Amino acid sequence: MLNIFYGDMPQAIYNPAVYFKNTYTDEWIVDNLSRAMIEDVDRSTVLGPRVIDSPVFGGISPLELSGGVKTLIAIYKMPELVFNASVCGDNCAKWLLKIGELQNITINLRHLMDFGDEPFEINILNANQIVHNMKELLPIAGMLVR
Amino acid sequence: MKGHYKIVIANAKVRYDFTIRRNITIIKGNSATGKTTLIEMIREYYEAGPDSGITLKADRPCRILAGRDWKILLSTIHQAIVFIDEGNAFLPTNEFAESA
Repeated sequence: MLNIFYGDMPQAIYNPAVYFKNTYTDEWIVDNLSRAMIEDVDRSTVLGPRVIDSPVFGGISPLELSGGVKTLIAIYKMPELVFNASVCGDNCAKWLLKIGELQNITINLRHLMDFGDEPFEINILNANQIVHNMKELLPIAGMLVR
Repeated sequence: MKGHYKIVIANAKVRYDFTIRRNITIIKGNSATGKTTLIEMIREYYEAGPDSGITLKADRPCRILAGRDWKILLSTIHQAIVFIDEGNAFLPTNEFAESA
């Protein structure tokens, strides 16, 4: 399940891109879900563990992926850690839900991310409440990120 | 600073052309839309100037504020447009809000 702690969370890793830079492995990049996230969010194609084809920059290394997709991969590959997912744009929201379907993860959000119009299941940790759509989420999360 | 300031920065791959109109402007958007790349290009131009291969035209000097020593750095910056990437842990602090 996707668990979210809204607001200030000192134990969360605030800059996931730096953490990714110093911890990622080749296997993280060629994983099928990582490939799909890179293709969707960055519009880039993984050619191998150390080369990614970007439509803007040409051949790039994993270090040049967007901050959002680095954060998604870090959350996916290190589910025991809590990352600041407010560095992710709304185009990462569906992937956070997808990772949450595969494994139990906790993220920290400091803003109101739009999780879209489809129903979902998110546990808001600091309200101890499970919400099923944005209509249920917004009034609770809105109070927590003021 | 008050007023509006036009900034054009480019390299061989990307070009940004925008005007800042407020004292504090937040550049937001989906992931992979070039926000961090913009910051990196401004930092590289500040460090190496035209030798960076980047062209920058702006009404005021453009600077990057980052890292643990942000307060010291900020005290040395005057009449410049200051860019801060979202990954800086000082951003959500009251100390920074009071300084800004």
